Amino acid sequence: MGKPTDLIQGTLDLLILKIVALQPMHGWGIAQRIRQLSKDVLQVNQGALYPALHRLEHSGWIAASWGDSENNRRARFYSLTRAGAKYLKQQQASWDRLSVAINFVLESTGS
Amino acid sequence: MFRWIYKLPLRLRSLFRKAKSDNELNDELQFHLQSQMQELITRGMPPEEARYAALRELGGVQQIKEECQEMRRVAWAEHTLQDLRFAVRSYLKNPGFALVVVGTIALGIGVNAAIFSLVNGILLQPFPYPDSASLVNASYTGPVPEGAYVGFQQRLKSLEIAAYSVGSGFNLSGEGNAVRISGTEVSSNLFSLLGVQTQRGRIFQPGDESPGKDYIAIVSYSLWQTRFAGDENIIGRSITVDDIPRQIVGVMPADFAFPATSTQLWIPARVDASNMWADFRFWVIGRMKPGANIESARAEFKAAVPNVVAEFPWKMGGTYAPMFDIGPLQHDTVGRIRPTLFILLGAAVLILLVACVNVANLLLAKSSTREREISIRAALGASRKRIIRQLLTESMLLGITGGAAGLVLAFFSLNLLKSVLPAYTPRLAEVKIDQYVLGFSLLLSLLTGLIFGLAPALHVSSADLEQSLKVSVGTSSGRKRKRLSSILAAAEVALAVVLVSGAGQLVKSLYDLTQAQTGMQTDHLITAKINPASSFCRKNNSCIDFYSQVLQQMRSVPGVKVAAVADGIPLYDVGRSVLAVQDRPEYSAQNPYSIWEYTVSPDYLPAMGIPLLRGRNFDDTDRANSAKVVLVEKSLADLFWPGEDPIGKQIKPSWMQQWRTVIGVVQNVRAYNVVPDDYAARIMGAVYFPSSQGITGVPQDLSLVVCVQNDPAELARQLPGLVAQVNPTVAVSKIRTMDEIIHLSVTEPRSNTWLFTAFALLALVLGLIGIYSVVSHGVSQRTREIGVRMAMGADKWQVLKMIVLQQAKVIGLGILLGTVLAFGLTRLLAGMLHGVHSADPITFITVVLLVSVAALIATYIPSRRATQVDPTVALKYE
Repeated sequence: MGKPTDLIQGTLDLLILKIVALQPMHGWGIAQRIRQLSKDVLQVNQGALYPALHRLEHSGWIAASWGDSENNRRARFYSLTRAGAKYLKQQQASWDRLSVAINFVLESTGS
Repeated sequence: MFRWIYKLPLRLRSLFRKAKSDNELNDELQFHLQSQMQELITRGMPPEEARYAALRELGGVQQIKEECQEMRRVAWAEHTLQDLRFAVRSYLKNPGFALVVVGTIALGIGVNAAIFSLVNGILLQPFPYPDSASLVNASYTGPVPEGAYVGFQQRLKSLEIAAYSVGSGFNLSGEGNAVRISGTEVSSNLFSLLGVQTQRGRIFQPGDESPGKDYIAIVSYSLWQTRFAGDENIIGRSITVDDIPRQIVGVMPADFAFPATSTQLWIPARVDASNMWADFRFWVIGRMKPGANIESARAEFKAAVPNVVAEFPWKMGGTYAPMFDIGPLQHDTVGRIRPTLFILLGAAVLILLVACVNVANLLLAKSSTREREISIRAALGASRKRIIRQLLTESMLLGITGGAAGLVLAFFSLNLLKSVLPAYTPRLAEVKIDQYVLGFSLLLSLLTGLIFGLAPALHVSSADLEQSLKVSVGTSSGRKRKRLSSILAAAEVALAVVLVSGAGQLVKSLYDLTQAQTGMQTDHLITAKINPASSFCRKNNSCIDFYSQVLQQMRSVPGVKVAAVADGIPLYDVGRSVLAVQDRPEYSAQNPYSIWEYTVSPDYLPAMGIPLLRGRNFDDTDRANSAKVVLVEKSLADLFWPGEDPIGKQIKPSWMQQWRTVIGVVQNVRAYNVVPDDYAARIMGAVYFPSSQGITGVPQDLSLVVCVQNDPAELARQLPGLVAQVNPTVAVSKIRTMDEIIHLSVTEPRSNTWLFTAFALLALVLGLIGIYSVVSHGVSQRTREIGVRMAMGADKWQVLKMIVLQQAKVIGLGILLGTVLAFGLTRLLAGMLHGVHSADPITFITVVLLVSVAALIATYIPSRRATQVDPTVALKYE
């Protein structure tokens, strides 16, 4: 297992939106799930996670509500709003474009 | 799209409930820590160690919290600042446009701020008395006899009551000729009940009204300043009021205005236990005691009414007792002006709407030139929402700037506004621009910015960006914009029609009032109040000799044709009485008929130029001990004895024993132009009694009427001196020509008309500017098309016709819409304002014509400019 990669500014938002799109989840769960899904490559810096969650909430992309966690503790669950779903789609598309473009560049310099 | 649904509550919460959202954040981070610990423990780490590890991983808790809090605010504050900076820059680049917009908004907000300051100061702000909400008015039936006041005082537990006498005047004598001042007798607890203090000296105390101790008076600030030149030693000074010396014990502060702004003197009301039912003399107010509310106080009051009314030494009509009630003093005091203020506020809001529409249209026109800028922004990644927000920020900035300018306008026009309103308007002195007016104006400015900014912002942001990046002429967004601006222009015309027709109705009603037949010969007529003190009249044979001496004195003046005295002047202060008609059960003493009542000397009819239609006038043979006679107005004769000869019929004031014989019928005379509220509206005529057989007791409040050959102003100057030659202690006041009285009688309709006309003109001018700007912008956009048409052979007239006709459709639509609205509103107006009749077709037609012509002129001028374009130049345009 290599050193976890730091996330590019802005990609964290995308990841959070993607995770809560699958199912409503609390902050700790989101961090865990990102780590799991990225096969331990992406380590979410906790200090960045909560500000990001709050920023997304206040932008209206995600909504928060209090609920019971799997171990019966009160936790703040985040879920995707309809606007958020649309936003996620746009962001995902632009991410795809960006990564393809970056690949083009990298490959051309490589050859 | 609806993100604000999620965002708004969050914003508000973080703004207003910081503590709560902080706690939630705490809980959230706590949960994270514990979950992390749990995870580590499951992996086999000892609990204590797991805790530290979790904390380490999370990082500084406080720092996270701060960052989270930052996130809540930072984005929108920063964007707003950015937008503001941009807006200021772009307005500075185009100051003419910004100036027009700000000026228009300033007019709209200024009018609203000024009118709202009236509403605020008169209706909304509590009375300037401590705990004013517990003050009540208990005079729903008009004044009550002293006995009734005492009766209520004994019975009421939850209400303390106080009384003041029916508004009267006093003769203030001493140095020089006596002067007439306005004053009132008050119960000794009135000041303490209101909770007011004097500026100097003391208020009245319990016991002050007892005979012998009651030779005291409190003067108003204005009387202290004018009559006593602000004498430092005013307290204790002796004055003579109605021939009785009184000692001044107090001076009220300048803003004390109870019961009226004009009140200058207060003296204790002596309640004579042996003569408590002589007159309906007292107005009653009250203060609810702690623990009582209006319902409980009303219940107690109403329960007491039958017992009090039963004490009256004569039987009151069956409808009298149920009329008693109590209500909030403030509400009842300002009740009369409330509808007027609301109508004015409504008119002001309409003006603001016109201003908004105007500015919306200007912004829309400007947006055509901005479409490319916006498109570029959008292409560079600005979201639709972001663009709308930027445009709204710009319009809000205009709104606020305009609002600030409007407040300045309001500040300077407030005094003008106050001077247009009748001087007797209650609480007028308290009206000022205070924090409530500021808040109202701020709110209005923001709202205004939102309203006029919304249409252009939505329009621009929805425009087809690709299209506008190319050429703007003839694009679909251009057409849409033109349609929107046509709708706005039509709305402007409609609003202008509403206001102008409202004003038209008022002008027409006022004209009708001033032109109405009064039934009198009003020119060359002068009137004055002659007031001997009541003690003087008691001593001197009811002043009969005094008045005949005054009349003789008048007749001896060269140029005087006729002189007479009367107890009331038509259109000014006519008294009301109740009448019984012999052999007519429907107008019997049990069921009396209300009439206007005049007690006059024989020469009154010739002096006033009132024609005698049948029978004879009063003459010197009608004496106190001769047969009792009366004159009736034609309308009453027609009502009581249709088709019969009224001469010789018998009538009497319903409370008197002796019948009186009708000896003549006189022409109908208009008693009031605006009938006072507390007077029955169904009074249909007047009865004249000869002063020698007067129905009132001691005549101390008679008016002199003198008909002169030449300029009445000449006699007006001599009058006080002439009366003083007869008796220098008698006050002469209110010297006016009959024309002045007619002018005064329409004070209220006139002030309404002035205000409304000013508002209507403002709306019309704003509307015309709107039409002008829409047309001239539309024409400039079409320069190329016009060039083509003219190159193809169209002549100037055809082009002109085309443009004007297109605009005429818009104007026509607006006028149609406005007329429908105005029709409804005029009915409302007629119901709420005194002296306004409902819809009058001629006025409507005039208004429609006026607005149409004005609007067509506003269209014509810019259209004509278009036709003067040289086709070759026009084709090169763009």
